Amino acid sequence: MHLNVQSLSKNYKHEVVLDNINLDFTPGVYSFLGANGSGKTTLMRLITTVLKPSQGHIKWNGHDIYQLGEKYRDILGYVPQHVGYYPNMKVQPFLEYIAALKGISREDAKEKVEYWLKQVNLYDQRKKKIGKLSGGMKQRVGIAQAMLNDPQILVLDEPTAGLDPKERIRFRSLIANLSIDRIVLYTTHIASDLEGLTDYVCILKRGKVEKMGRPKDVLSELDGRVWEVEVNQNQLEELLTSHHIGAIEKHGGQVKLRIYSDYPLSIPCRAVEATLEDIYLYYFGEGELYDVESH
Amino acid sequence: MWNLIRWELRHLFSQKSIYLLLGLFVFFIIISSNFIDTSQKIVADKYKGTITEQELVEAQEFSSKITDPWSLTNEEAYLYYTYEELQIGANLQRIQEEIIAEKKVEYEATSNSSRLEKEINLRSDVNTLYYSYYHIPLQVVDFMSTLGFVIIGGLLLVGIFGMVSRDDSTLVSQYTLTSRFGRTRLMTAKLFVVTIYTIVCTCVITIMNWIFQYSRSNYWQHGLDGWEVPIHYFFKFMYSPYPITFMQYHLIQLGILFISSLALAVLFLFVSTVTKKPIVSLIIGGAIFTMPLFIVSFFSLHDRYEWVNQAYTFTLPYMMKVDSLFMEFRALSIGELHIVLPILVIYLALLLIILFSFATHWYMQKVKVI
Repeated sequence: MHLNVQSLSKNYKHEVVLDNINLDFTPGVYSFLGANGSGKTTLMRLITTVLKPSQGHIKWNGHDIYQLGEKYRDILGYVPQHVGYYPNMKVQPFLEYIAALKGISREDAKEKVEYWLKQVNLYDQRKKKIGKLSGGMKQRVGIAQAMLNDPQILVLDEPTAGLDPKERIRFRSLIANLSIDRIVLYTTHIASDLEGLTDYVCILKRGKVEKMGRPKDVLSELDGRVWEVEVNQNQLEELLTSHHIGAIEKHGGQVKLRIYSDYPLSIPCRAVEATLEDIYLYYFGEGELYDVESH
Repeated sequence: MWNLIRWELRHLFSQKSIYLLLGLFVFFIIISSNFIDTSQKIVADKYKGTITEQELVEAQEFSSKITDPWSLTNEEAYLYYTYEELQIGANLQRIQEEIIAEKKVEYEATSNSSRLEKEINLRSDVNTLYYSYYHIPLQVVDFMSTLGFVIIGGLLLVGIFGMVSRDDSTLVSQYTLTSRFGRTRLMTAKLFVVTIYTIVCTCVITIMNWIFQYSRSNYWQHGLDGWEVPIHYFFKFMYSPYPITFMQYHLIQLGILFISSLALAVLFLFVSTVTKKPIVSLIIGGAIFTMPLFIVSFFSLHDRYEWVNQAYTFTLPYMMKVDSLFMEFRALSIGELHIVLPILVIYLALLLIILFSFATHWYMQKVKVI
């Protein structure tokens, strides 16, 4: 089970969205962190064959995925960022339709649809129109449809976007259960979703792989660079302009800050362990987070 | 595959817009239609069969006595119309003979004349000296080439324009394009469903036409006769070189209508595949179907430009309309082989079906992205 991305580039007219990406995937959960426009969704769309690369190859067990066609799509499950559905279609018929698209026989489809409806806790909603479901429920419909063919590659493109915290936690547990013996590719810009879930973290920045490795290795890059300080409101204003600031928490009149700096600060501070959220904020400064356009 | 076909049929036939459009057409046809008085048939039946010289003399004498047609009794009026139709039959035969004579002159004057020979042979078989009461068959045949094909075109457009583009607009194509059969068998299933839908539309409108025409006559049995009358009695076919009856024409008409409708349906599917917004697919599909009709039937540009006149019969709506294929002798000559226009149009429709079926498959497999 080996998915290999070789010298992959994608251009839209003159704009380079992905630039010479090389990645190797074996079973495990791979999380892609990046700001809007970093190329995460484009990479996922290339891997799921809904886009074609401008250059490079994606190979599944040594074979080009576009050449494999049906054979490749047979082992693929895709949960897109925005769940698509026919507004008037009910949950169960919709999943049965997707099962037909995946080449599952009618008899097997009924069984599998019921199984996955129960797994994603939507069995009681099976006769409801998808359009009437909440965002979280729609995402679970997305998961169920992706799992019908028991995929070896599961691609989740920002699946928690728009979900409330409770639904995000439930979703993370669900993904953790599904991730055994498959390649799970998970894109997000909510770093906290990945804590305890991911085997590898890949940071994409402006269409390039900035960092790729196991979470502890990536986190160790920030050893001695994450500092926590407590300041008052006046000091905060000054620090905001002079330092690379991470999370800000208010405690009474005081403000607790995480500051990213290669050197100890001149004010009282203590070094703390980095989290995936720190990684994200470290690599994507405020300007980076909001200045780039989304694709 | 059958599972996918079942789903695609379900998607297609669950569109309320199809039934709404059909209902609207039926409503307008019913409110704008009138009763067909077939009482003339009782008189016309006496003259059923080959038109004789004696009958034509009687017709001539009767006509010469009539000074005010409005003062006739019903019985006299029926006889008047019947005699008129007998005379039309004789005139139609004379027209054919005159054309044959002209063509024979041309035939003798030209060296490469097998094309003319074919036309002369066809026209020589035309016999309009046969009469029977034919008004219901005429209405049946006329409806299909005036409203029938428009309704079928409309139903095909409304049913098919969103068949693939709707998947893009609802983001369902994210699943179809990443699923095992989404780029391959799904399109075969859609093509199969489009064919079934075209058959259903053609059958529904044909049966609706029969019911409609027969139900608006005094006695539906009056419509059983007249199918054996030459098509030339219908004024638009008076110069037609084809020796066919109303029945033969109607069967050929339905055949060409179906095959052209299928070509149009496959073209609509192709447009739906290459466009990402259903509204764009609807506009392009609508333009493909209505532009030739506007150009010819509304603006009469075929009278002003010869190339329009030559080309319009090869557009899908006019292929579906069928009547313009039978009005005059036109053929594609390849050496000694002369393919007459109705046959040529069947080949063209088949070619379009094959071409756009392959193009749709190719686009989905190789090109389509979100």
